[in-house]
Amino acid sequence: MSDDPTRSSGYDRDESGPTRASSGAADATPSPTGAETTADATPSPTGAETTADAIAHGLDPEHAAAAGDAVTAADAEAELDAAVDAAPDDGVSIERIADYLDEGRQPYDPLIEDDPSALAQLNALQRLRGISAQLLTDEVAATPAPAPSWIADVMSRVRLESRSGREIPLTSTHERTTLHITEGAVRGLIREAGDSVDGALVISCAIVGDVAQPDAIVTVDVAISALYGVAVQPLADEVRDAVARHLLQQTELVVESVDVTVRDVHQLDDEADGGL
Amino acid sequence: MDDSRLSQLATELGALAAGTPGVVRVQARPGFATVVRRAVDGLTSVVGGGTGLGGGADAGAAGAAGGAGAAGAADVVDGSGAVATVTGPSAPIVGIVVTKAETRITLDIAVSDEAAGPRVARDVAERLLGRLAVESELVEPSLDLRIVGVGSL
Repeated sequence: MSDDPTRSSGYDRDESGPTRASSGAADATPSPTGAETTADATPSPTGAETTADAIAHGLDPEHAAAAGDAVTAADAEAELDAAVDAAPDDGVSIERIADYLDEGRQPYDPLIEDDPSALAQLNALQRLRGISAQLLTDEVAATPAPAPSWIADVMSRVRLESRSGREIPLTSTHERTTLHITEGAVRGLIREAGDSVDGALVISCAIVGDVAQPDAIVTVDVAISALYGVAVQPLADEVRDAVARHLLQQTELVVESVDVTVRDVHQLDDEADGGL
Repeated sequence: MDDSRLSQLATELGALAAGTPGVVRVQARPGFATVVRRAVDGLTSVVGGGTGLGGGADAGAAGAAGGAGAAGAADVVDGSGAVATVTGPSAPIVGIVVTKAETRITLDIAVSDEAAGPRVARDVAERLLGRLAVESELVEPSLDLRIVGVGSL
């Protein structure tokens, strides 16, 4: 578990639920103390490029470090920033996904519907638009919107995180059967859980630890944006609980902590979708 | 077992998996035969595992390959329905790789967010292995299953 008191964390599979909640992420601007990564943090120049490329290709930060230079769990988020930029654009374009969503998912596009990564992006974009539409009816819709690239940036992260990534083993009752859940599926699950909390929007998430090893202890880092006007500490706690609950239901990960960082505050309107 | 029969079996297993409570979609793993081809000696047949486009007929397209069969396997992966006209969701299919020593079933699934993913995966495995157990021609059936999505994915 992180020692950083600014993060909302706490989750132990051995207990009845998330029981180790420490103080929440009470400020939209995270404390620079500890290993926290802020929105404008830049990755360490030492080996960052190689490591980011390795992460972009599905390696976890710890393994990626072996390919590049030393990267700690706390660096993962900053490395992910770099990986978003470094990742090759080898899938269905986000523009095509957005157009497909505009058309009501008709006619059926198998390149999107049959591809877990593209489908994860589609669902994330749909949730983002849902949030935007909801806000149109709120008073906050009248206030200035964030930079148009904001949602596009979130979608870039979704795109990266939705890749299959590592394979996380599940217990099998047959010796000739191997069961896994992909890291991309788990990241999608984390995003969906976080986005389901009113007022929260997941910016990025990472599973830190050797997930390919059964029973290995991992931590989950979730960075969120909070809707303007929402109390951030209860929001962070709610996101943490939702993520922990979903992970417990859908995976066999031994999660030591779910660390939620409120990294941004957002106000959206219909112009804030970055052209998507 | 000939390739036509294997194709039918792949489609049948896909339907069985798709019908398991908690499963929202089933698909063959893209490129699985390419990986198998590199790893397995004595590959005799591969079905499924293409793009899954065009419904069951194309998705279950079979390719026979005697001996090592590498070229045949590659043809199946690259050619199964890739240019087919698609009008709706593809049929749920699984990949089947047959060697002299083993019959390997490979598939990816997405599960409902209301179900418990690990349990659903085990239920699917149980169903498929139960079905394969009655196929006396298949050697040592084994299963490789991944959850690639949760919720509506």
